[in-house]
Amino acid sequence: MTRRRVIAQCVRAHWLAWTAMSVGLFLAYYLAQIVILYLRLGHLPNYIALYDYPANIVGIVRSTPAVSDMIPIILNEWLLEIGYMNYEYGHGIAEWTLALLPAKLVLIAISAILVSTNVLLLRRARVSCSFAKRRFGAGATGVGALTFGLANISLSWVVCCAAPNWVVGLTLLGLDSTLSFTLEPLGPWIALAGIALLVGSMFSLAGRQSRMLETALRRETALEAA
Amino acid sequence: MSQGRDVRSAFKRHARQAAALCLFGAFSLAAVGAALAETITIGIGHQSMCTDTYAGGIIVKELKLLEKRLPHSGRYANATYDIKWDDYASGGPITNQMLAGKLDIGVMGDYPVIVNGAKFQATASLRTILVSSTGYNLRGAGNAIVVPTSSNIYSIAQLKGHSVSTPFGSAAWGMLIKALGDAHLSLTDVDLKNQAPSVGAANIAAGKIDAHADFCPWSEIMEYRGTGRKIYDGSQTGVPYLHGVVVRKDFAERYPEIVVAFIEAIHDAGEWLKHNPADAAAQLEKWTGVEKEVLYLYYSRGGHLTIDPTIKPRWIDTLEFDHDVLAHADLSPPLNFKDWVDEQYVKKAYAELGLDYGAESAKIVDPLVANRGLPDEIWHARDGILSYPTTAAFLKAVAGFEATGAKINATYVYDHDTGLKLFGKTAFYVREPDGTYSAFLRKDAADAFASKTGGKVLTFTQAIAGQAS
Repeated sequence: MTRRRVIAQCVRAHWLAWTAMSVGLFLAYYLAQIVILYLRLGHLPNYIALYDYPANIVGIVRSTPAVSDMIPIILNEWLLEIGYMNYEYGHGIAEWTLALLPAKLVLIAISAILVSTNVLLLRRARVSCSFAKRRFGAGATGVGALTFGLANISLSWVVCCAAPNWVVGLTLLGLDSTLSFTLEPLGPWIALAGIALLVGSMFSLAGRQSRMLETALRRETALEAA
Repeated sequence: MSQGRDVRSAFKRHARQAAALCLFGAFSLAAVGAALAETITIGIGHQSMCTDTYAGGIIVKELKLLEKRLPHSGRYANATYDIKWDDYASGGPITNQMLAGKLDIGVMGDYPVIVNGAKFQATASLRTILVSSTGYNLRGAGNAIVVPTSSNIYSIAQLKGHSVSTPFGSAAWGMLIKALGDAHLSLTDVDLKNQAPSVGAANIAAGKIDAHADFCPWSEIMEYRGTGRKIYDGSQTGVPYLHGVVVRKDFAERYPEIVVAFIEAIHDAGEWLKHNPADAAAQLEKWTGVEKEVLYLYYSRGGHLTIDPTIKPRWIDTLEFDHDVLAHADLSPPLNFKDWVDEQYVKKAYAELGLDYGAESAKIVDPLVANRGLPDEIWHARDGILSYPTTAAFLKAVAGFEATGAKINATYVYDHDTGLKLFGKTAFYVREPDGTYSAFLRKDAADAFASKTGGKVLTFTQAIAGQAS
């Protein structure tokens, strides 16, 4: 049995749990960002804005001649904005915002799906893998999810990071802002490492189960032949 | 026969040509007609919490100055305009919205405007151009470093080892870097924190941070509310502080007349401010929520800001200097100023206004020269702006009003060393042996002047008490 078949079979067998877990992780990721903002800045969101995403994409396509320029601009387009408006000064300043960018929503959904799949594979691995191997798989999944999640944070904090930026998350988590800005260019690489860990651990866990199934099958065939 | 055939043939040929011409003409007319019937959307990004942008933002919007200047003849005869104004807390999002094609025009401070030009030049197909300035302060006033009122820090040198916050990448951040360097302090000598203007202002009020560097009008808001005290004014850097207007190049090329109209509107906004600054400040308070007394400090005669759309050669030097600061900190891609700065629109606007661009562009207002001899002022709650020829007379009047319990909105004096307009309550005063008074922005400057003249340094309260009898 191939690794892909093992994964597909595992998901099919527990599709309800898999779907619930994926959706739950996806929602928990964004909820966690609001919780961090609340704990650090002491404010719950007090406004929400929905953008006309399709119309905006059409506008970008029309106004951007080069496709190489168009793609990064589209990837940065917002769908929804949740934030805290400070009315102490002037008519209000959006002090912080959590932006939902469709491009990032897709990435976060993919990572949630990978984590859910790995959790199911880890559950199955209780019979097929040693404790150390399972711990390694769980660790890789955890680190992958954490790094990928961190590198895809889409928070902005007035002026310092006008556009949603992953290092705002680091700053809010207590990292020195100068160090955070130094790390900023590494964002795509950190995200890539995270997703590689998630995919790698998924195939590794599936591989072990595939090998175990094949061994069992061979034994069965040998027994039948005997 | 043959001749007759030739004539008929020539007639047919000409008829075909005429028909083709008519058809072409009809198509052309239809095309022109369609262009004239066009609805032109103009997206403008401005900042209602950044004083220096008002002449290209909130004033133009609220007084509908652009609408009054937009072209309605020639190719625009049947055009209708859809003007969309978007208000932002900083220049960064304006640049992002311009990149996304949602805004055509952006008004922002010197550092963000540079990043705007550089970010666009980093793309393969998109560009912005700097078409005009909105206003400036030659000495760099507008940015400042503020400490809590009760703090015992009075100079930038005393910041060593203390926590200082600033919005990273802003004009104030650039000023802070320059100021620390001038004071022979490195960035590691202070605990530098990244804080938004509102957060910094709140932290200064609560005493949670030792100092906060910010752009206008935040420092003055803190001073006016009595929560903060300036220890360093941007004017001490000697680098001018200015704001500019950037336009997407494709928009400017398609509708050059609209860009010219926008610059004319900025000029009109400046005239409106000059006409009655106190009324203008009161009006602006309604539109922005910033206290009128703070705004008067900027827009009154002798105020911090000179409204002037011209692009002066000195401004280009300043922007190049600012870009070096940004590039040094890896906060901006390269910027080709030659391609970016485009004076043709502002020149055209001045020509249409009947003004001499060369002469206007050569004028630079230096507060130290221009404000010399200007009267100190009291904004009386009932009687409005009252002027006093000397600081002694001004202090005596304040003492008189306080004795009668009259409500004073704000008081204004001029810094002896820079000519900058200050809130009377935040200034330091030197009473010279002959009884004359001079006002100072900084305590160390007042101390130096007092030791030179044999005078005595006083706070506002002490100076009023001295004139009360």
